[in-house]
Amino acid sequence: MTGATLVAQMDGEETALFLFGGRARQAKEPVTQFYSGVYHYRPSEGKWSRKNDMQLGRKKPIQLAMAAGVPLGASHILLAGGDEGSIYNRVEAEMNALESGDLTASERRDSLWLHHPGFFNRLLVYNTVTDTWLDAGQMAEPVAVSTAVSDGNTVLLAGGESRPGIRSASIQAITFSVETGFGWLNYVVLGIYFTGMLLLGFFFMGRENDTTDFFKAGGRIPWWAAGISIFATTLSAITFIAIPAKTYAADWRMLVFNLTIILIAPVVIRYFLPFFRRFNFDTAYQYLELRFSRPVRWVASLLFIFFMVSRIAIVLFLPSLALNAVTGFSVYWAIVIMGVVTIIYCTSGGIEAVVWGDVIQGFILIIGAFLAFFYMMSGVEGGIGTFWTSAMDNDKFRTFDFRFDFTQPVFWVVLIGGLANTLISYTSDQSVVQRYMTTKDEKATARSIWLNGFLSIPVSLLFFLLGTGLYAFYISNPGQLGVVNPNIDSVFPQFIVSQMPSGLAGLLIAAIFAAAMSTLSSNINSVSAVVTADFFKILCPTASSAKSMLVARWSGIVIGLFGIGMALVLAAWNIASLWDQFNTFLGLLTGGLGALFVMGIFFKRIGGTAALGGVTGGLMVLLLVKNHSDLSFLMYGFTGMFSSVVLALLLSLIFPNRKKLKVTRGRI
Amino acid sequence: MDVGKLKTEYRDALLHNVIPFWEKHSPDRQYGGYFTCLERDGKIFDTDKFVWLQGRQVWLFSTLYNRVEKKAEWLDMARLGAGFLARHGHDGHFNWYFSLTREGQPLVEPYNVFSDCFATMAFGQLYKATGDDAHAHIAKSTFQNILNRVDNPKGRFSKVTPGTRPLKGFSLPMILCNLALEIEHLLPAEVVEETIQAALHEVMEVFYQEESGLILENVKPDGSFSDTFDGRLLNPGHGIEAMWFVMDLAVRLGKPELIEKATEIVLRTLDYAWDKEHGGIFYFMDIKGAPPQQLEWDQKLWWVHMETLISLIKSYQLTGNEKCVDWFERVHAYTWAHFSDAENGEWFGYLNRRGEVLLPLKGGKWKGCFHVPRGLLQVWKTLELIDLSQR
Repeated sequence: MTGATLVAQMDGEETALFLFGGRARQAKEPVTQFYSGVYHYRPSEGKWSRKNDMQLGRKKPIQLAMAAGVPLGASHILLAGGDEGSIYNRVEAEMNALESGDLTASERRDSLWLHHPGFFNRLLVYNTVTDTWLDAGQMAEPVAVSTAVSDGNTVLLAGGESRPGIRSASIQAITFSVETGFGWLNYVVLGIYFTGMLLLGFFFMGRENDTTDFFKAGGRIPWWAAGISIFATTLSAITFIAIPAKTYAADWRMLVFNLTIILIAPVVIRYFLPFFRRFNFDTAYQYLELRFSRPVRWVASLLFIFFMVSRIAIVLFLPSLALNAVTGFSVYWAIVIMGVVTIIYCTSGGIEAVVWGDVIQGFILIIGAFLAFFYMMSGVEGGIGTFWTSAMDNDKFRTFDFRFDFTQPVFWVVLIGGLANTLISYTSDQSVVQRYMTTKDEKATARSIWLNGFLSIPVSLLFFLLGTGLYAFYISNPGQLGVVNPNIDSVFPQFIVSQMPSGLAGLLIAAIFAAAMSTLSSNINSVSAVVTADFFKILCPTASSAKSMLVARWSGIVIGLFGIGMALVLAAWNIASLWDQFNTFLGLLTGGLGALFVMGIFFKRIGGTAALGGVTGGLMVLLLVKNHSDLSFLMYGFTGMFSSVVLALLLSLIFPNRKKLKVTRGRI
Repeated sequence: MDVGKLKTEYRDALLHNVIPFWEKHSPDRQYGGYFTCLERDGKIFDTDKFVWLQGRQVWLFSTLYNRVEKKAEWLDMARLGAGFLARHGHDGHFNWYFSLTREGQPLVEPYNVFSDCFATMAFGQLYKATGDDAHAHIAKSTFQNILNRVDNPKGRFSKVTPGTRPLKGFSLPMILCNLALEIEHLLPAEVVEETIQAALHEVMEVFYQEESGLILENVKPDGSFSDTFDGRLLNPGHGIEAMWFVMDLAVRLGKPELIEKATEIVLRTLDYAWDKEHGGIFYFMDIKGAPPQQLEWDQKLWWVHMETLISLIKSYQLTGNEKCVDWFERVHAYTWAHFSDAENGEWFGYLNRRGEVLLPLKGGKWKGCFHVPRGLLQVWKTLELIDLSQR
């Protein structure tokens, strides 16, 4: 086989090879066969599979060899030009005739060459996720055997042959553009949302008398609101965008990850909650001082602050980037507006504004997701029925994968990773733990944790359905998808902007902002809680309540502005990959943070020194694993936590615990 | 001079001797194109295909078809080479390779602009016969390439160390004099006019040296004399051949004084280059009489004599100058006595100084189906004109 086009592109899950067409002359065949087949090779599976043949629209397959191929955006491949082979075959037939003695054939052969109308002049675009073909128009000059390179939105085709033996010296530029438009009605909806958030902050401002109000709402939050708030906080805009993108591109294997909260909730309620509630801690890390030592508390608090600043920047930056790709909003303005509004309402209204904001945002999120799904289904040819069959046929609902390949999101990885990560965030992440203290008692908190858990099931299902719905929708409408979107995560925002009616699109975009802001507000409030309780009140124990309040407000503002600044830097300079590294590194630390709580509560023999040693060692183990193995990143939390605890246990043989902390485990 | 008899002699040699020889021995029916490396009896001794010679043969058979008779075999013969050339002859940008294998694989890079010149001639003439736009397109695209290369014909293939001793050669302006008229039907009038004027200027004012009355083969870029091997070089055959191109142009432009000048140069060159000892025209000479660099300088080449016959008969036809007749008769006698192969047909190409056959081939790397038949045709047709005017 020669002349096949080989392109490496993401297939939704991993970078795979796609092989298109080609030609081959079989022994004893009179002419060369040109092929229309498409083959897909996934390195992790190590095998080739056949995909839909090359075709123009949904018409008959096209045989093509010597086409130029180039990956476009995150999940498309452009095939430009090539040879369909019909004239090639006629030339071969004349050559055969010549060989069998028909001397007149040479003139017919020469004439076929001389009067060749030119090679295939259409552009074909293949979606590697939905396995669909799109006719993307015509080239200025047909070429075969060209070379294509892409620079974002523009593909350059250099040289090639326009007809057999006639080379082209031209460079053709093919530019793809995504229509970015966002009508005034959508802006009005967004305006209402942002104004509402500000009003909310001002409404609660008067009630925030001291830091207990500011960080724990004086215990006035009803359990159901706290539950929704935990739910909205843990569901960031990244999730809102990334989960549908993930299920669009791959399948449902990540679902288990999102449902592990059901298994973790009883553990948290039974073993961790009593400590947090009965000592009436201001922050989770206060427990660490009580159980281990002040240095452990401060290490944990500092880690948390770093982690939060990084998260604030990312939570601002990524959705802004995704929205920019499809709406044309300035990335900078999106970051600034989202950031400033959040800072204002959460530093003026304190945790109450945060929690009630989360509740509103949670509702917007869920209503928005329902509406989006409805519109998606109405856009699928054949509606729900087609949606179901096309998803089933392509194994898009695959949830359980019982292989033992720990580099892939198989069941074990998702389960263990999900359990570990959920445990980490529900025990050591102040922005979650802080909710536990906002209700009137331990019982109410337990109910709010359960509510959050039970909310996760239908909402996760809804978001997973959204992704599969996108898949079905774009199979029906391959031309509606922006082929050069650099990030597959844009798929849902793009659907919202291009397919949802004006106004509703605004609501959905508001939902993305809401998802981001619910996370952001909790992050800001929790950092100021840590700054105030873990540092200010210890360093200035005699400070007045008013002064503490001032620190609480200003630390929130400063940390928020700092996060905005970082996000702007990210947007202005192309340091996303550097940032990724930094962020991954911080992410590795969370396993250790979680491990401290596990050690504290389950392993009485581990003292402060052994704990810190364990966490340090655990981090090193994790770095080794990360750099020298292909272990799925979903397992990093577990690996970090597990190795920290084991190492700390070993160290405790040398550095035994000398501190006793008694907790009466009575009835709740 | 018996014009009627001579006319028949040239026509018969063309139509009953030379052309049949090539029709019989040269076509490659399997891969297209022509074999040109033929022994004296027409046996093929090498199958490489030289693009100059392929193009020239396409031109020749197209010309026969256009000017002599609409014989289908001639057009088929032209197409046989043209199809091969169109598919294999160039690099895809109409830069024509120097040589190819029998099957059409390129052997020698497109370093030589004359491959392009003859391809242009071939497809320009063929287009006159076929009216096929694809043929016109090839001729026009190639001609454009030639114009782009006029100032630096060797381009990246030049072996001269840059900036040391740049010289420009006579061949390209000379051939442009001919080419411009050959493909006039394909070009806009102003391009033809411009090309003709530029080429005429080069030939008659830059390379023509007033004090010697001879045409130099190489001059400095500013047109001045270079006292070096290359600068002193004379190629009498070239100078004489160029003069019938100039005469054709003079007729086309209606400039009798140009015809007079060209005639004068032909006679002067012959005077200088005729081998008074053994007869025939030298291949290379030194304008200062120094020993030439080329070892083959004293050989007698078929094309030099063929072109001389054309120039002489044309100048006689146009000026009536009796000196031209005298010379024509002398060169004619020498040529037919020494080059023509009575035994096997066609003509020998390479004689030693004494006029003995040096290489018994009928075609090779440089000799193909071109100068002999073109000369025979030109002389025959010119004699016809003389015959008409004398009646």
